[in-house]
Amino acid sequence: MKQILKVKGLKKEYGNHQVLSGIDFEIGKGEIKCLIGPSGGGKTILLRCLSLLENFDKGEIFYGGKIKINPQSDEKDKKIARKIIGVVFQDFNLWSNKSVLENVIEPLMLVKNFSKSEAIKKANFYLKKVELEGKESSYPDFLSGGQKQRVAIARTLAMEPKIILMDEITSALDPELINGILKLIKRLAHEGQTMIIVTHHLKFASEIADTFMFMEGGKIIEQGSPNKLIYESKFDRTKNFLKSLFTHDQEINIYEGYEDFKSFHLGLLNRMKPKITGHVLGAVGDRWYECLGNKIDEYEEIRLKKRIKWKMIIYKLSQKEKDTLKKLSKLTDYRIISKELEVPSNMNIWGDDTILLQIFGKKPVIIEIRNKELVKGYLNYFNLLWEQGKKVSV
Amino acid sequence: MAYDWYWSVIWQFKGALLKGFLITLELSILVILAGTIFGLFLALLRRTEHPIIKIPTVFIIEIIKDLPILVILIWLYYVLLIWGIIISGFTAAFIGLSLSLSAFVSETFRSGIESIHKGQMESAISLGYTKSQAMFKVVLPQTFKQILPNLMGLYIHQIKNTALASVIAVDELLHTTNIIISSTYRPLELYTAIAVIYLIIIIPIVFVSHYFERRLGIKVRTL
Repeated sequence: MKQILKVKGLKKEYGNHQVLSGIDFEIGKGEIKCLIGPSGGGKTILLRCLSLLENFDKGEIFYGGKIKINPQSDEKDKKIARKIIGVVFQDFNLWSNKSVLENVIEPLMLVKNFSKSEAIKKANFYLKKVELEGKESSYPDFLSGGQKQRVAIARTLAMEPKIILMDEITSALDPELINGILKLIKRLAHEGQTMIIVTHHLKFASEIADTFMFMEGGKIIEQGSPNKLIYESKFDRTKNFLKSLFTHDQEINIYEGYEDFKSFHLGLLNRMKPKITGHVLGAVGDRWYECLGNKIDEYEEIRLKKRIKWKMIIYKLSQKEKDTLKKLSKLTDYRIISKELEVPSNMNIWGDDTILLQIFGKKPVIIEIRNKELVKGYLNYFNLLWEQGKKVSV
Repeated sequence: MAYDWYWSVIWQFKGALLKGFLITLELSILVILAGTIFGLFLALLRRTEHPIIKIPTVFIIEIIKDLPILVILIWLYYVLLIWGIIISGFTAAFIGLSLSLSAFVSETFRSGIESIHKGQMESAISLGYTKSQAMFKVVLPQTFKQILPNLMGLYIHQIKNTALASVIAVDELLHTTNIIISSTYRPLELYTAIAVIYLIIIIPIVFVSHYFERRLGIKVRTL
């Protein structure tokens, strides 16, 4: 993967206060990193340093694999480096005395030496891309927040930077306008645009990001795939922060493949309160254990530690399930019911807000539905069947 | 006691008054141009982070601002003379009035530039503009719109101050009038006349400034 940006030992201080204390990472072509973490953790400052709007005290940044910028670099080098990056700001920063079209064409003409007609052609292309046709002659003061941000994105895209930095670009928008912008960013992601995004929209972020970087206290505490951070983080700070963001009333998530399966199930246990019960309707026997693979020991360890119970309604007892019952007898309860219920999938009810559908085809797929009302209803079904089942003991 | 108004004295000296009017106008225009350009220059110098440039600039602006214009004019005209530097009254008036205007213009530009959100500059820089391109293409056009009413106020003030040039023998309106009075003893008619002439110069400027304010304001809202 072609390297676009590499940061080595980046440090910045205000007086005695270290706002960035040694940042290292790199990003390759087409990669998307989401920077997450509590406010004041240094996310914005990091983006400002990367876009060379802010000086830094130590370290170096490599742009496009060639240009090296350190604290001693002069304005000439910085200007070359800035051509590689594009920035979209939280509060748009459109030039209010210029029309939409002028906002987009002026940098093209001034910085890229386009002729006016070339610039207009390019501007129209990108304004169309952000769905702003027909607004060319409007002035920013007359646009909605969402439209302003689209102009800002078009203006940045038109310069065709190798990487775009986005700093909470939806946080100055009205709620109903946010989704439109997020969709636009998703489209850019699918087109292979390299991006570093600071956002609090975790669901959106986990859908597009290759990597999450969790930042706090001027450091990158942890980085890895979204699911790894959400479900398997070893750091309490990361866990707590992510938990605080997962407070939506309803949410549907889909996880596909073995890796997601493992990280999801471990994460699920980590997220649950101690002593809750996981209700499973229609166990699929050894197939579930197979999918969890080598993570089963870790899984059972957490279960034991948090006293999390299994209540399962099954049609026959598999060998692995028998082993579990032996090992965790106090936390495991099986009921057997009619064989006609045999399907290669099952439904789980976890805690007071999570329903899972697990489908075991070629690859395991989990559909997670977070909704408290649904959980209440399905628990009643579950308990009805539970009464009819035959208790299993070893 | 009835006063016999003798208005024909104005007509009698119309040539001299016209010349005075033209000199006042010429001085005003030159002072406004030079004062604005030098004032903008001072404002930009003051914004640099270099202490070697910044501190003297602040010092110069402060001194010019704090001295009475009359003192500056007299000092330029007479004190420079002692050192063998001979400049005409008109030149001394031009330099003095321009300097004093530039000090106030620079302060107006500075506050105007500071009132423009720094994101305007940053977005330009992040798009690859140099600092001076960002300043001249993005920030100053917006600043100018913002400070236009203040700037017009300063201009009008300085046009009136051109009358001070009469003390260093510049043949502008007031000085010309004083000379005419000394031979005709008709001060009331002549001072009334030049009051009207000053109004004739200044009132159109007031209208023009209102026109621009409206036009710049409307442009943002309607298009």
